[in-house]
Amino acid sequence: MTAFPLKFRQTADGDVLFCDDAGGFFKSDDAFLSRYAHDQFTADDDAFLLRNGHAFEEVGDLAYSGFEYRFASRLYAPGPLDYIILVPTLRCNLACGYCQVSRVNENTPGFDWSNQTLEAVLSFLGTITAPKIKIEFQGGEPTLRLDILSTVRDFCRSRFERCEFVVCTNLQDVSDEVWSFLSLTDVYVSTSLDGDVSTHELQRTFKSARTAQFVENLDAAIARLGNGKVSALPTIDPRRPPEPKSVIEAYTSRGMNSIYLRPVNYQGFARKRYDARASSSAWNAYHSSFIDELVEFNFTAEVPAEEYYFVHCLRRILRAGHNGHVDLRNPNIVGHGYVVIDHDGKIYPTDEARMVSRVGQFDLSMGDVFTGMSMATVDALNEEAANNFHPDCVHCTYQAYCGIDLVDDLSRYGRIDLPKDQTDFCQRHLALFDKIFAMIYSDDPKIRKSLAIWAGVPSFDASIARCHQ
Amino acid sequence: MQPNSNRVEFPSQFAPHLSDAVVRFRYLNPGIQVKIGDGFVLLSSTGADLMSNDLERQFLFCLYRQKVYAETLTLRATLIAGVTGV
Repeated sequence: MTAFPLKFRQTADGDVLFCDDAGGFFKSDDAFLSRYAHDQFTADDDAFLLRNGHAFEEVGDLAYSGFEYRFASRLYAPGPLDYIILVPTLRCNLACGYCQVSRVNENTPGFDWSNQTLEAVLSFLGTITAPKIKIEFQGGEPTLRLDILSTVRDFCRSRFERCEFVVCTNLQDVSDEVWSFLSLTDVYVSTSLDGDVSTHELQRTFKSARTAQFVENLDAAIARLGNGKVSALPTIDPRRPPEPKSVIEAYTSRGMNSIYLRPVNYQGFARKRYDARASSSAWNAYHSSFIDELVEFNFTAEVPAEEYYFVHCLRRILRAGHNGHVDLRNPNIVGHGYVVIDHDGKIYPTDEARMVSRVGQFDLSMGDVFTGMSMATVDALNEEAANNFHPDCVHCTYQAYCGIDLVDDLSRYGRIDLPKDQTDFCQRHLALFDKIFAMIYSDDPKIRKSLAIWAGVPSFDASIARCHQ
Repeated sequence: MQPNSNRVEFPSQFAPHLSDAVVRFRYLNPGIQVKIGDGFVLLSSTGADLMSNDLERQFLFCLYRQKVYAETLTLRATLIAGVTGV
C-alpha cells in the first residue's frame, strides 16, 4: 500500500489535521504523524487510509484513478471568454475615502468612453464566440453614462443567445431613466452598503441627507426589482469596523441574506489614505467574530444568513469544482475567461490589475480594443499561477482548497516571490480555513446547523469530520 | 539574558532531509538559532517567550514535511502529469 502525500498542521486543540492534494482530510494526532514520518503505519492505519481514499495498492487501480479524478476536479480550467467588466467612465458622484477604482470627480472631462472607444468595444464584443455573455458595468458611477449602457445592452442582445448585465452603482442619484434601465429583466444591481447605515455615512455619503437619499433608493430598488436582482457589499475598515450584529441587521432586515464582507482594498486611491498592508490580523479577528455572530443569528432566524466568501471557502473544502470566485482559483489563470475594459479602451486581466496599472506600479494591460489583445504580460504572470509546487504551498494542508492571487501580491508588495506566509492573501486564507475546520470538527449544535445551511444540505453529517487514532 | 535552548533528537533516517528542513525552519523562525549535531539539533533564542515544547514540535514538523515531500515528489509529479498531461 502507498499513501498519497499527506500535508499536516497542528490544530488549535492540539490535534493534527491531515489533508491530501485531492482535498481529502481527517484529523489524528502526533502518534499517527510520527508513524507516517517514520514509515511505521500499522494495519489499522493502512485500512483507514485505503478505506478513505488516501492510499492505493498500485498505479492505475480504482483507488488511484479515483484520487486522480478528485485531484483533477480541484484544478481550475478557464472557459471561453464570456464575462466582460466594462468601465465606461471613471467619473463618480461620490468621493469615498477608500475608493478602489481611481475615480475622478463627476464634472471632470476626458474620463468617459469616446464614440470611437464605444465602437471599438462593440467590435471587440463582436469577436467573442461564446453563446452567452455577462457584462458588468463598473466605474466611476456607470449610470452617469446610461446612453453607453443602453447601446452595449442593445448590441449584446442582438449578438448573443443569452445576456446578463450587472450595474455596479452607488444608487445615490437615480433618475427615472436609470430606474427604467435597472428594471429590465436581464439587468441586475450591485451596490454598496457599508455595514450599517451610520458606517455607510461615515465612509461614503458624509451627510445625513445624502445617506437618507441612498437608503431610500436602496429600499426602492429592493421593492421594485426584488431581492434576487439587488445585491450589496459592505466595505469594512478593519481599524474601526461596525458591530457584526448591526451589519447583519442592516442586511437581513432588507431581505439581503448573503453578505460579502470586504476589507478596504490596498489598491487604487485607497493606498494613499489607509495603511491596509498589515491589517490581516485585525481583519481575521473581525471576520471570525462576524461568523460567530452569524451562527448565533442562524440558530433562531426564520431566514438564515451567510457570509459569502466564508461559504465559498467552506464549499471549496467540501466539494471540487467550486471555482466561481476569480480571486480564489488554482491555477488562477487570468486573461482568458474574463477581462476588464477600462475607460480608455485598455484591456486588463482583472479589475485589480487595472488598478495596479493605474497607480503606476506595473503595466498589466493586455492590449486595447483598438489594436487587439496582447497576451505576453499575462502569459508571464500565468506561468506562476499554480500553487501545487510552490515551495510554501506544497507543505500547506489547505493547498487543495486555496488558490493564488499574484495581482494582489504585486499590488501589496511589488513582487510575487515574497514568502507566502508573509502575504496578506496567505494570512487571511490560513485564518479562514482554520476557522472552517474548527467548525467542521465542532459538536456545537449551533455551528452544525449553520454549516448545514451553508453547505446546502438538510443536516450536518458528522461522518465528514473523520478522525483516526 | 541566558538564551533558552532546546535539544531535538531524530533518527538517522531523517539525516538526508535535515539541511532542507533547517533552511525552511530558519526561514519561518528567523529569531531562532539552529545548531546541527550528530542526530540532533540545538534550537536557541535570546527571546524570553521561547516555548520549548512547541518549538520542538515545529522543528519536527519541518523535518517530517521535508522527508514526506522528498519521498513523494515522484508520486506527486506523476499524479499531476496524469491530470494535466504535462
